[in-house]
Amino acid sequence: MQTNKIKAETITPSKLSKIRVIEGEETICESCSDYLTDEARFGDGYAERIYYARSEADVVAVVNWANESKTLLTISAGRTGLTGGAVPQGGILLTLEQMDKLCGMGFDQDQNRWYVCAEPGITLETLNSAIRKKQLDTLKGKGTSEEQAALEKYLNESETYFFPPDPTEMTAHLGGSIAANASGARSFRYKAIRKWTRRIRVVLANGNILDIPRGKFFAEKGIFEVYLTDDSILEIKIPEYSMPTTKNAAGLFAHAGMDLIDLFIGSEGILGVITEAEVWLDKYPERTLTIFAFFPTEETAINFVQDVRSKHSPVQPTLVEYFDSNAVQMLREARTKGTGGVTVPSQVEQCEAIIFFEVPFAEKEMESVFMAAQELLGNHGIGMDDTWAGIDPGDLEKMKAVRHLIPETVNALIAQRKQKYSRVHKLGTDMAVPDEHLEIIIAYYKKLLDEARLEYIMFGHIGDNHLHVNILPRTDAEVEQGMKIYQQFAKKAVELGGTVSAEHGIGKLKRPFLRIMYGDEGLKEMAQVKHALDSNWILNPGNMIPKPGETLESLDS
Amino acid sequence: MKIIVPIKQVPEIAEVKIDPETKTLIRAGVPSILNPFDEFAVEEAVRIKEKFGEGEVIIITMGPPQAEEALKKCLAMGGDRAIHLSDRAFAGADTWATAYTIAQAIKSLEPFDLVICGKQAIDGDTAQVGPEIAEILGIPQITYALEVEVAENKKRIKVRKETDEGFEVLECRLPALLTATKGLNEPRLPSLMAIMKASKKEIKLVTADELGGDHEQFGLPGSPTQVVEVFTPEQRTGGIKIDGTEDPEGAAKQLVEWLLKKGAI
Ligand SMILES: Cc1cc2nc3c(=O)[nH]c(=O)nc-3n(C[C@H](O)[C@H](O)[C@H](O)COP(=O)(O)OP(=O)(O)OC[C@H]3O[C@@H](n4cnc5c(N)ncnc54)[C@H](O)[C@@H]3O)c2cc1C
Repeated sequence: MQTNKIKAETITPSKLSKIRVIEGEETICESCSDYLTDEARFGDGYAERIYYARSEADVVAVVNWANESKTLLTISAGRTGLTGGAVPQGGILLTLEQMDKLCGMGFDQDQNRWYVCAEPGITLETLNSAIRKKQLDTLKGKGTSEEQAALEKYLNESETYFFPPDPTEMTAHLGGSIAANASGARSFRYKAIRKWTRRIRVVLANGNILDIPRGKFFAEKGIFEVYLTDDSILEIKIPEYSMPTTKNAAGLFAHAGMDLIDLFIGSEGILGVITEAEVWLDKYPERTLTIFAFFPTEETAINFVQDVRSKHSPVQPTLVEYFDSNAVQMLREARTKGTGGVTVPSQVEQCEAIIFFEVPFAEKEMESVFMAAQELLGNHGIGMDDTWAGIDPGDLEKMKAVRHLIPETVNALIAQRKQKYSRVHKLGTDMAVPDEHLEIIIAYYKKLLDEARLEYIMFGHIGDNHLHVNILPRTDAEVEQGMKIYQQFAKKAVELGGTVSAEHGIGKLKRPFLRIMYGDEGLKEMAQVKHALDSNWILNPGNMIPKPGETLESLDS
Repeated sequence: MKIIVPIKQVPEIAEVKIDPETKTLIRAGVPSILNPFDEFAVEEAVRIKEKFGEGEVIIITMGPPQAEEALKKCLAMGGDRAIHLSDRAFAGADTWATAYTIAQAIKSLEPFDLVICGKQAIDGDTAQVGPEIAEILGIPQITYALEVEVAENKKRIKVRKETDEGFEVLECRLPALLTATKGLNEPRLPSLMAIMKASKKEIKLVTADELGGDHEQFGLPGSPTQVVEVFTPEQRTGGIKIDGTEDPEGAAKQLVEWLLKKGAI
């Protein structure tokens, strides 16, 4: 039965005094500074208390206290975020890192898929390792008899399974990744974590808990009704903006008739604290063929992409990645200068662009998959010898190292330039556009950057029209110039129906870009949802949308 | 020329952990790769063959069924065919029993010109198997090869080898055995074509019975060495740190005194 009405529940909260806490801004700054930043190295975090939750009851206790005292509360997970989302700006920091257990295993009859239930603080690496290696001893004797039977059956399965979303930073937590709707390496095939989330439990700002399975609570006429335990009814009005159709759009998910679970996935912690999640698993491919194909021009490479990603393609890749001519040049230089042990293929000497793609296959299909790949490449003038192909784990490791070499080289270069020009930093985009605009956006990127004579490289998830343009300023003045161009890129991406942030989210750093996408009206609609669920505005303040009274630095100035 | 390359499949070292109870490597779930030093060996063999425009590169491994993966990789790098020694009787072999078993297989391929091994397998790091094979076969060996030059008449070989102090250039007659070290060459990366071709090349499975030789020398029973205990060596202590930024002369004096006291100078 579908409904737009959901009933909240309560549990007995823990005693606040029983929860581990570190107090004092200075103490925290001195001894726990790791909690005050994330991978964006967004610097000015501070907090008065850090609470270490070990259970949902702990979370409720801390949230209740924050709500009653109107203290700001920032949720912290793996801190691999790239937008400062988990960075506190005063108040309490609630870390969920000790809520890191698996809770259960089940088989979803309707979906014909396995799923696993876990606490939010489990890292994706631990989760995947337990699932793949079937090391699930901690679950033995736990849960219902049905869950026990499912576990037994899973352990006896001959197939290997895994949890596909992989935001490449495997220390990311499950909860943090759901809150950010992370996607990652193979999202061309597997999409973002949204698609894999079966059920979540969320603690709201008033301490009530929502248990939200997928497929049960749907908006009616753009409205959800939440029946709180104090008998009041909360009305949530879904924003009316239309979302980009790209792989992952930033901002609150909004769609007429949407599933309630989707409102919380990707909400960056502004609507509640995720305390438990069930996620579906997929079969781990028996074998994987990975190919580096070397193209004489960028144009031929992009044409190939159009073919390989089409529905009719004889190979169905899990990822399709691109290195533009500047990235290839960077590899070429690394090859001559020395790469610290990374194997850079000799073909970079002659090519102008590289497409890197991966095709999973079963042992018995090997011949046909190879033939298909050969044919497809052949259609674009690439011979079977113009490739570096790997099916062996050793080669796959080497290929991964080549991919990592690009961002590492960029970071080293920027660090070097920073010594001379203090304001220099990397300007990396995260925009994506719909399929039909791939060529247009690439041409636009190149035109603006070439005209401005800026140094840049372009690489990344071309399968999803999601390229990371890295502008590499040589001087402080070029930083200014680069920032302006960055904004023009964002506007163009939105104009083409794309998103300003296809995988890194908005957090605190990218809010001005969200405004480019949804305008002030859109931000206001999001704020209304936030206000309905968190009237004291305590949860993750400053993420995604401006706090009450806060104005966003205008991008047009 | 007939060149034989014995190789080993090893766990990807970056991912291996030691079981604190049994002190053995936890191999479950760890991906297996071709021993990196063996890649240099295969590459060199294929290059020599390509240089002369004739010959055969034969890959040999002793290992469990899944070691076939590593053989395929070598065939994709240009090996012509492979021999897979796989039998429960081979299990538990130490370096001697391994060398003995592989040597039996090499003998069955006589006459051959050259055997190239990797300098060591990165899981055991003993560097013994190559030299032991040469001993058993009674042929000359040159270890840690960095540069290899086969004479035009294919009767002799000149090798620049790495030593603790620097290099040595040695020459010997063929057949001989070399062990390859990092720097010998840049192993080629397999292309789609190469992997396709490799899937059609022969991998011959050979059991203990088919191999012949003295069965008492195979596997655990044929292994003269036994692992009695595995332990983490104690951390060395007792060093001192002398800061010389303020007063370098005083610091030098302090160092000399300390060394004298320890009897080191
Ligand atoms: C090198 C690198 C590469 C990356 N590549 C990708 C990529 O390819 N694709 C991609 O999508 N991302 C990528 N990321 C970004 C990052 O890994 C993801 O966003 C990640 O999933 C966030 O997880 P986390 O546990 O680190 O969360 P954190 O950074 O700790 O938090 C993220 C946000 O979620 C909130 N939050 C955390 N836990 C909860 C909870 N239980 N309930 C409610 N809110 C919560 C936090 O307050 C914060 O706003 C990358 C990061 C790095 C450093």
